[in-house]
Amino acid sequence: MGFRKYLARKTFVYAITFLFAVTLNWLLPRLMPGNPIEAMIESNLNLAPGEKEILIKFYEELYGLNEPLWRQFVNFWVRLFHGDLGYSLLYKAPVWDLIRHALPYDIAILLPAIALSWLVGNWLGAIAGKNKRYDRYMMPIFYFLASMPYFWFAMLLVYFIGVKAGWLPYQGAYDPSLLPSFSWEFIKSFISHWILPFLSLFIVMIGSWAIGMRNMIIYELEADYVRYLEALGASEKLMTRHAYRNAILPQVTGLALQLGLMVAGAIATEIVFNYPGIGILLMNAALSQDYFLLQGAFLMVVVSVLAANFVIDIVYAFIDPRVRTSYTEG
Amino acid sequence: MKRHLAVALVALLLVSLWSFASVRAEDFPRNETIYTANSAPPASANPFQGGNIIGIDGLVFEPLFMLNFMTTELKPWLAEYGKWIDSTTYEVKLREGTRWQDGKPLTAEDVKFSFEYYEKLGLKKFEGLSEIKVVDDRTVRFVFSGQPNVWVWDQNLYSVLIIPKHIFENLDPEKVKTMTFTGDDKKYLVGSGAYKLKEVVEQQKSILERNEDWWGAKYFNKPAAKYIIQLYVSSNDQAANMFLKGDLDVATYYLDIAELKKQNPNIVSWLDKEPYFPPVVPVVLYFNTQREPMNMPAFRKAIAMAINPEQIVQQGPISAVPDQTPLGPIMQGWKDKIGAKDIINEYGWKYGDLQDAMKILDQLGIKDTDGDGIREYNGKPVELHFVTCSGCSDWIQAGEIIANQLKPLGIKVVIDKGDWTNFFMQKLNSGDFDLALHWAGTFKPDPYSVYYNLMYYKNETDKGGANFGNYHNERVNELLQKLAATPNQDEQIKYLKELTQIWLQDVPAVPVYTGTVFYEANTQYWKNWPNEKNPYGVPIFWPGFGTWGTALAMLGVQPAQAPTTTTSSPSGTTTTTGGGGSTCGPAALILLAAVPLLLRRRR
Repeated sequence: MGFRKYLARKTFVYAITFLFAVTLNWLLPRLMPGNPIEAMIESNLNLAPGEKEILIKFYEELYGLNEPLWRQFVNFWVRLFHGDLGYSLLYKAPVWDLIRHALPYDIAILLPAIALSWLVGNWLGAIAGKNKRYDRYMMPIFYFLASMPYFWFAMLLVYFIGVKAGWLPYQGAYDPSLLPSFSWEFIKSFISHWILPFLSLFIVMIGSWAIGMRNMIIYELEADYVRYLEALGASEKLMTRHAYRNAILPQVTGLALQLGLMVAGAIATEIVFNYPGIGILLMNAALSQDYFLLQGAFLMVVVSVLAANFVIDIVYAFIDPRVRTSYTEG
Repeated sequence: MKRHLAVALVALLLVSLWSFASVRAEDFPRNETIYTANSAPPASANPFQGGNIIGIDGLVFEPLFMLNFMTTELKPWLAEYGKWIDSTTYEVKLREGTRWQDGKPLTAEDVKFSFEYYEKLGLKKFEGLSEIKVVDDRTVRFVFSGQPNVWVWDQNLYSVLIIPKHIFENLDPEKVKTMTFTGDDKKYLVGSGAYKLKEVVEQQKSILERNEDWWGAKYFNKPAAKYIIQLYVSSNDQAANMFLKGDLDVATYYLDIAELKKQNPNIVSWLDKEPYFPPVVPVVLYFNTQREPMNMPAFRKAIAMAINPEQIVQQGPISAVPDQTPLGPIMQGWKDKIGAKDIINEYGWKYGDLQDAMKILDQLGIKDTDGDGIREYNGKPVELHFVTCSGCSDWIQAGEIIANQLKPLGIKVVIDKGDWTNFFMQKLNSGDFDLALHWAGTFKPDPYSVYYNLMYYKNETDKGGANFGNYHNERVNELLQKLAATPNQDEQIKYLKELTQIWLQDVPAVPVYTGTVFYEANTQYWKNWPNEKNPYGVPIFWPGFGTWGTALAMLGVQPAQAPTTTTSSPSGTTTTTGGGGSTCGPAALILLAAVPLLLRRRR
């Protein structure tokens, strides 16, 4: 079995997963009890006598919700292949537009936070795995970071650094008096608004990466091949290098999953810092039963998680000799 | 690889420095900008679906008339006048010089086109309207085939936005339904109003810019604010912080005004004492009039008498004591005309009158026979289920007080809670409740709509939108029909008098407190916000209420300080978030510049 066959099999599995996941995304919001259109009209206070029925009809036709469920399902797939994710019930705007405008903010916060915390966390974890004394002092801190409620930590940052000390802005993505543009003022404002939410994520994530790495390193350093190296009189550096290479593998998987989930945004971060990412969209969509926005946002999540996993499957074939042999010799 | 990264970062720095020299960021001088906010982010400027931008209706697109919801008066806007010239023809004359923002004249053709367009989209149906005749450039006649409903017609006068024919006739109506009119489509958003849509930054803010060439400047004051920026502020806490710092000028959030005033004396609301917020419409306690014993008006009246609104109002800072009619404070003008006070004296009841309430129940034969403190009706204890939603803390609280007030009367009230749509509204709509609170029937712009919503009933499907208790009285239907058909105010008053009298005698529901809408403004940069003494505008800053008087409020606001001559002084822009923003920007950039160095060292 060659690499091409491996690729073909993986692609097939991913395609099936994709179909299944997207169908589920479509179905689940619709299984929620209640009718979003009626809820929407119900909250519309300024209606004249008799206007309610007209509006219900208008919206049901607009969203195609008057058609039988199977027909809606077909329409959904047809639209999807035309690149149309539908029209949001809540925001009254095309779902794709909403996602497109929100996604950059998620990436701006989460990509650096995930990548840097992964690098730093692994580095600190690896040191902890090797050095007992350092381990004794650092691990409690890591456990504390990883297990404390994120909301609470973010609020502390907002309160002490943002409100009390007034060092950094703590809400929004940039100053309300600015428009996004490629100007000095905007970049300055954007960066200063970016620091706190970034820090909140970065600091919390370091903890879990470090714990994972530390445990893996300890496990690997106890493994037979390290013992063997030790018996051969290999240098400490060589042993650590081998152990590290093995220990990093699960961490790579974890990184890929985290990056894949990036499009879902960090809901808590966005709520606390009022940061305009997809997390807030998703929350609002769920609260108001916005079928179209929900399924659109989840579609992005599914696609990116699958893509991340797919890439990892490929990358594994290169970095992990065991995977490589499994298909070259299988 | 790392060298490339370093080069890229340095390039980015240089480019940003260069852009600092050439392009300045958008500048909205603080003293020329009104900041408002909404808890739903702006995304769509579609005028037909309300969008979620405050002022698309009223400030960008205009109606024939504006409604002042706080006084229920219509203010001629694009129209110079509108009147019934006979019982089936309504004539509208446009003001002289009405003009679109692109310079073209706004004519009677546009009015005809707009009304037809709403029907074409399926958003409105003008019952009985057979023809719209353009008499001349400024005159339109709406011809009805039968007797029109004058009240519903009045509502169309301020809810139909006049749109430019020369733009919309080239657009596919099917596509218009889902257009957001942002980005490239903004060019189609040509209104006639005092403001143009400058920009919608999706999910974050919308910016309206003054239309310097507004036709209305001749008739109304030119608006004082050059920009109106609507921010997305999702929580009350954030809004409170922003008001304290002067970063928000006006909004609709639940804030503790008394507390805010202590910290920032510039904060104002509708009233200058408790409850501060504008009392708008009564919240009524519905009876399920189809169930025993609530099908007896006397029983309902006994409960109404046992209720003491004073106690309910004392529990919360956001309500006021109602009178016995469903016409709230906003209908004061109508109430004076129909002499509501006298009618209440003659036919009404006294709140908190436990003794008389007991007498009525005794007379009805609803007595406590087994001595457990609860009266029995037909051998069964009277136990009423008060249905509400679990998130509606104000209603739950009021429900508990009502339960306590009815206990000495010998009536047990059980409170049932559930979620809004699937439990509460579903129970109300299907009539599966005994008691419930709601304001849906009273939040209406005219007395006809209030009575129609609360009391009209033909059958299960043909009934008033908020007649949850299924109250049914043929005389009411008859009166409503007559009331709908007459533009003559003397006749209207006669019918309204009788309707009020029936309401007081039959008690389909009881007003238990007056609901307020949240409203707070800051006078640091802008003054003359509408208030109780000067109700020229409506303090509701929600999207979709522009033509209900929000636009009037925005147009009436005046700068607090004399405008400075240098309009684009950089001191005008404030950093919302305190001094930190300015000092940390450069620091962050130095950090950023250090990244390549750090990367280099690791190599």
